[in-house]
Amino acid sequence: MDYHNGMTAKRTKPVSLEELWDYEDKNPVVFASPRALAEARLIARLERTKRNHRDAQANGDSHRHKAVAA
Amino acid sequence: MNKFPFQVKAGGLLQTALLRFASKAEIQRYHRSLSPFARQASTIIRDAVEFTRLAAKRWRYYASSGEAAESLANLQRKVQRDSTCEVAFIMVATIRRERHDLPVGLAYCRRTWCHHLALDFLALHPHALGQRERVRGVGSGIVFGLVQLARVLRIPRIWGEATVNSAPFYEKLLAIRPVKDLFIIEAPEMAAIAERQKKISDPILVSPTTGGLP
Repeated sequence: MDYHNGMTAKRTKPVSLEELWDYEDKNPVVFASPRALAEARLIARLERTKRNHRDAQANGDSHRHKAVAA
Repeated sequence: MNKFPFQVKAGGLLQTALLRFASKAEIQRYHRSLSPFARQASTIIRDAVEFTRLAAKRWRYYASSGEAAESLANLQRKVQRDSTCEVAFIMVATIRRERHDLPVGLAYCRRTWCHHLALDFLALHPHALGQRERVRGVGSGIVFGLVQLARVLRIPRIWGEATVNSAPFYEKLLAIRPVKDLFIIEAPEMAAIAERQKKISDPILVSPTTGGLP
């Protein structure tokens, strides 16, 4: 099935490569899918947390345990 | 077959750029090449740096669980082994400068479980965005490279989430209006994208053995 024919989107007159490049000059192509971006930010935060934890261990910080009141 | 050529204009001259699968080392090199631009005031350059760094982190995360590819053969092997596997890969676009390859942009893609290609990040390198020597046509060229890749892999659909910033670009590229939060590139759009590049390409680019242009 042609997806676009089944939607409300209409085909428009194709632009030339030169016109497309003019558009790209004024509107630089730097795009990210919002979902992919959110997932990547989460991964970056996870990596940072792991690294901080590793660094803390390497620096000799011991795990703190809660003192349990008798 | 790992390289997909497209035309750009640099310094007012037409030049062939190449889109290819990035290995781990190439992703690291690309990542390092962003350092001089990290503190630039321009929002678009800061976004380009941030998106690329995040794409690299996301790729590394997928690679750590064996769900990323570093070459076409690698991707094909994974798909042969498991036809419903999801594989991430980064394609890097470069142009030749003196004796080295200058990175000009990248695309982060996923081959989805149903053999479609999802485009998650599409970002020009700050080199290509420079005021002094802008490289024209990298964004649409990368999409043309992905169309060539899709044809080699017999992938019938390239899709992605469009945003308020990217939707007008896809409307122009695909000659479809309106594009809302989803863009889809199927056979008719792939043919139109290839046809547009064919008009300015060197005959070698349109040989069926090099890129599968009609």
